[in-house]
Amino acid sequence: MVEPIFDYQFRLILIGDSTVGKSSLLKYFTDGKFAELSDPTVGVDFFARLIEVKDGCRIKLQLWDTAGQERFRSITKSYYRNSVGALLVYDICNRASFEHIPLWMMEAKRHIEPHRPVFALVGCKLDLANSSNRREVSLEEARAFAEQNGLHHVETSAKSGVNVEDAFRLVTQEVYGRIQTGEYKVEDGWDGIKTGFQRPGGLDFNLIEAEPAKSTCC
Amino acid sequence: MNEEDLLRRATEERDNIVSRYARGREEGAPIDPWEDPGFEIYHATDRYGFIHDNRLPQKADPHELRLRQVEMEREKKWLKMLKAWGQMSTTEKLRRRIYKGIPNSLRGQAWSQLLNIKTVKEAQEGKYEEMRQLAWRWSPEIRQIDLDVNRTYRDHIMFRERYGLKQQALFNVLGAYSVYNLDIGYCQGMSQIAALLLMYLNEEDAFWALSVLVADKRYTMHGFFIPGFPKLLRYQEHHDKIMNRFLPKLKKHLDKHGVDTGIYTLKWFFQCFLDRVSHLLH
Repeated sequence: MVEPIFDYQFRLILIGDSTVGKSSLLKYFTDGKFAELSDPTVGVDFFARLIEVKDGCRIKLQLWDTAGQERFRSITKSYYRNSVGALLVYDICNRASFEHIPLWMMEAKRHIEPHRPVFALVGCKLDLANSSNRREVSLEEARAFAEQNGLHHVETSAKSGVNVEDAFRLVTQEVYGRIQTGEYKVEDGWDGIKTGFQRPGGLDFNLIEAEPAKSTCC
Repeated sequence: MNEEDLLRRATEERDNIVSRYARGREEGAPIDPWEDPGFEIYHATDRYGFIHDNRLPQKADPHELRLRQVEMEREKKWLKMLKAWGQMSTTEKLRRRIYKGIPNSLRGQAWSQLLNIKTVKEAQEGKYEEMRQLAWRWSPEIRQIDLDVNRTYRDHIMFRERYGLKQQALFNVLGAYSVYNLDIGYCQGMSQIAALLLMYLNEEDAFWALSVLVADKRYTMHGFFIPGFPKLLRYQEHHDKIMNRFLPKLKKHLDKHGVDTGIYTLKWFFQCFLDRVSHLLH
């Protein structure tokens, strides 16, 4: 097989209002580039990247980008089910997009059930907020909301790259942590978490139900 | 201004121009960037109007040259066909030639004929203007349309400039359509289709072209864009069936790796293969 070596594969989904910057965030994370011009996402789009968590375990992230327009939810909802994490994305310079976050969160929870996803609240366009003073959502307010709801929070810029890596790393690390505590398991018929192909050693320890794995897989 | 003044002004103007040529390029001649062949955009824009990040090669490679040669041959054939449209419009030959790609220079004409725009437009004279006005005042989709016009084909020279002529046209067409067809309103994905039409047609014709694509029996894209996307789902189911029947190994392989049909066929069906086949073939 020619696939890159990885120990786990996680599926994450990005949701949020139209033009908050979901695709640009993904573009930067997977490509290291800022897309000055990007077409609206129609339906769903797909990205992937390999990252390492703290103990050196290699995780392949499958990333689903979604259209923000309301009517596409009938399509995007089928992608929720197989996600283990969701990035709730808003635009720091667009108040309404932040106010809609609770709705997006509910939507995600409802469709991901019975699984309990890891959420991160991700503010976009930090560069714009800083340079032209167009901030409409304060850091404190977003942080308070995140704490109340048990979410990670980070403010990012897909232009300068600030914190983009963190946004995905936080979620990945937490999912990995939950695997190690035994809260998450690899399940047949669910693609949120899958084991990699090339390291049979790491394959089965979490198939044993509810037994927390203390070993690292690498 | 009296005659004397006019004459004096003409003289001044002439002297001014003559002296600029006499001085030539040196001594800080006032030149706008676009006036010189060095202007970068000329070198990065391809023959369809798409602007690339890097300079395009000065000389076309042999493959490209051959394609152009072929296209020139096709142009002649298409010109003949367009003249004799009445007899040609239903033939197998026409169909074959469309699949080979309509020559760029004749796309506007060919699309107009294929979609029967002239007749459709005449039958509803004044309607477009009415819808446009209505949209400006009432369309509930204006916000989303604005968001999408701002990021549709911005790498194309016609849509590059914010609020430029073609951006205005795109905004108007989508707005007008959103109040003309209330079942659909505006659906993301339509902006690229309309923009592609606008690369070859004027504003009103593009509106009617979109309308024919959605509503005419031959194209019926209506079911793609209405809420719930029934036609899209039907097409995807059908695609799955065909894959299972004729390419079962490939289908299994794709399934195994989680490449589901919805991901890769969306742009095929929903947006007429736009961005998925070469611009050459549109």
